Formats: sequence, structure tokens, C-alpha cells
Amino acid sequence: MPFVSAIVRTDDGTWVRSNVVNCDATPEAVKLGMRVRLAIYPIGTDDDGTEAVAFGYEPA
Amino acid sequence: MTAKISPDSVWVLGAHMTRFARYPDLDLIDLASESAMGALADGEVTVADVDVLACGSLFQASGGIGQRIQKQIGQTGVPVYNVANACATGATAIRAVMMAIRSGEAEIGLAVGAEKMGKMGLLGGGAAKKEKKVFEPSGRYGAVTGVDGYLGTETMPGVFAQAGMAYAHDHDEVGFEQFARVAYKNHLHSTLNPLAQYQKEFSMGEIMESPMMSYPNTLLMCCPTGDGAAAVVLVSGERLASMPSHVQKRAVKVSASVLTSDPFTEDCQVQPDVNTLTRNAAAQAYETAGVGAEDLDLVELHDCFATAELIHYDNLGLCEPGGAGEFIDSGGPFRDGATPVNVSGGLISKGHPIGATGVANVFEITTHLRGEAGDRQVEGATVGLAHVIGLGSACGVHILEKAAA
Repeated sequence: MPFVSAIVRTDDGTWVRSNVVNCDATPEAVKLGMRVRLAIYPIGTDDDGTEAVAFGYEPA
Repeated sequence: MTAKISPDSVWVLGAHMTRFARYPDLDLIDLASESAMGALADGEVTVADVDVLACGSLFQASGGIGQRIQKQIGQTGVPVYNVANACATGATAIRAVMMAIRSGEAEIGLAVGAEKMGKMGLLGGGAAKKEKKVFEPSGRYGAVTGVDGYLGTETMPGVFAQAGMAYAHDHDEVGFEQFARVAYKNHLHSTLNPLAQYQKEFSMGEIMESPMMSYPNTLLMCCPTGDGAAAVVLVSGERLASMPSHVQKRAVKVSASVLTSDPFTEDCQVQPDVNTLTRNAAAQAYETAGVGAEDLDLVELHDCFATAELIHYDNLGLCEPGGAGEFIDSGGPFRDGATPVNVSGGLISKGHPIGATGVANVFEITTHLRGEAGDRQVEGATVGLAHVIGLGSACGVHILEKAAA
């Protein structure tokens, strides 16, 4: 399953490693320098039904 | 540009590498011992002459590989260093021997690098871990599951893809095609190297259309895993001066041996910086050797991925600043170009048994400076540079010079 790994620089200068989500995982859809915003997304459910979430970034 | 034998200099006396391949019938000690004995014979010395042994193996250093090799080649009681330093493991083993000789503790030392990886798959990012079935926070960050692939990636293909894309973002003339051309070159070069794991030419189309691993690196732009060993015997100039002239003529001077780690950068907590420590190592090496990038007749650099090689053209000063795209497009790093790079086939096609790589690069340069590289010989080579980088990070650079006639 393709995913988009990115290094995000926030407006206050903090650097974050995360995924870019809610967009196609293609070089055409993802451009270096594009603006993104925080997006929480589910990454799986365990055998007890507990859902795990991760933070990602989506195109702004 | 050739070097004279001064007493405080250090020289490569003997060198050997096994073919890089997958060896189901040989173990790590077999491969390492073969190279150790090969390098000693090449230098016309025996294990009884060796004052220090350093053995690099990323995955076996903690298992005392150096002492296990001694049980095959001779237990003489000399100091042994077992070395692990990411993909710079082999270069670090050489440097350990260098320092022993420079300190005056040793006159002759043996550095061996070896790795047996088989079909290990991709490295980094905890790629092989399985998810828990019950989510419970654990570890420093209270993560309930492995996060690679969810919070970006630390896998090697991913990390080096990002480093290449950052360079492409800053330089308009660099894109997918330039990265692919690096792999085209190295596969082509490997067809002349009988020691390479793969010796097959691929077209640009085949490279660009092979399965995408991590954009822009396709499968044929990534190095393989594999098995292999390499070894070098180093000697002090003082001792070399007492050796027969035919031995002196084949000796190759180690004009610079540099090891660096990461200085702080503002994004260093979230992504490895493969550039700064390479630039720092190159600058130190050029200054120490009194050699400039323009003097180099050949370079073996750490092309774990095609993206890595391209950015290292710039990091090592082989091209104009920012000019890596133009350098590959103009043929500069091809074997008939301005500065041939990875005429061995590089990690991409020669292979990358991790602990052996940094020693094998020095073997390759040594072999060309001696004029003994056969079909792949860079004619008239007198100065060469060997570069490796391992993430974490560690960067090793050695500059070698041919002996004066």
C-alpha cells in the first residue's frame, strides 16, 4: 500500500516527520513545499476493538 | 600525482575482496578468512607479521567476529577490534588500524570487513516487526503500534528518496530521469567487474519502469543485500621503506583517512542529514591529503540508492555547486568521463554486504592505482577517493595515492 512520507516544517519552525494523507500517493499530487494542515487518521483496530489514531497532514 | 615513502605515512600493502554474491554454502567466517588470507598474500606478509586486527561486521561485531577469524588465520595474541558503525563499518575498521599504526603501536595491521545478509529485505524503520494484537502504550513515546509508514518512514529507501527529492526540489534540472541515469551508469559499469554481484546492463526504460520502491527510486535504483568480504593490510612508511622494491611499487599511500558524524541541524531529529557530514569529511580529507576534487582520477562513493549518488557528486565537490544534474547528464561520472564514479558498479550493482563495503571501496581504488583492474581499469589513475556513509550517522572518506616510481 503506497504512503506518502514527508518532513513537515510548521509555521513556528518545528520539524515533524509524518505522512501526508487524504491525497493520491503520486508525484503529481504531492509537491515539495506544498502547504499542509494537521489531520488525525485511524491506523488500525486491535483484537479488543480499540482504534489507534495517528497524526498526519493533508493538503491545505 | 604520486607519493613518496615518508616514515610517518601509512600505506596499503595488500588488498583482497571476494566476489559479492549470495553464498549459501559459505559462512561469514569462511568469507572473512578468505579475504584476510588473500590480502596478506597480496602484501607478501603473513599473519605473524600483523600487529593489530580490526574486523568490521555490522551484524556480527558483537559476536567477536575478529577472534573467530583468528581461529582460522592464526591466533597470535595481537589486539583485536570488533567494529560496527552502520554502513561505515568497514571504513571504520580501516581507520582503527590506521590509528594503531600512526600511534606507533603497530607497524603492520589487518582490516577485514565482512557481512552475510542473504535475502534480508529492506533495512531500517523496524520493518520486520509485527503489530501487537492489543494496543498498549509502550516505549518513550507511548506508541501502541509500530509507527513506520504511519508517521513517515525511517526505512532506507524512504530516507534516501527524501534526501534526493530535497535536492531535486532545490535544483530544477534534477528529476526522475537524472536519478535513473545514475543507476544506468552503475549497472553498465558492473558488466566489466567480475567481482560484482550483478553484471547486467539495463536500459533507461527498464530502470524507470521497474517496480517503484520509494519515489524516485525504482527497484533497479536500489542496492541489493548480499554476502561478501574484503580486507586490506596497512603498513607504516618506515616499515615499507625496508621492504623489497617490487612490494614498494605496488603499495598505495593512504593520504587521508577521515571519519565524521552529524553536526546539529534544525531538522536532525526527524530526518537524517546525509549531506553535511559528507561535506565535512570531504573538506577534511582534501585538506589533509593536499588534493582537490579536480585531482581525482576515480571515486567510489556510497550509492546505496541512485538518489544518494547524485547528491554526493555535489557533497564531494565532483561537480559545480548545485550542478549534480548537469554532471550526470554530461557523462562526467561515466568511466570515460571527467571523474569516473563507481566503475566497480557501485553498491547498486556490485552489491552492499554492509561490513565489507567500506573495505571493498578501498580495494577498488587500490587496484586501479596499481594498474591491476583488468577490463574496468581507469587508465593512468594515480589518485582516488573512497566514500561511505552509514545512517545515524557516520561518514568515512579515504584518499589514496599511487606510489612514486
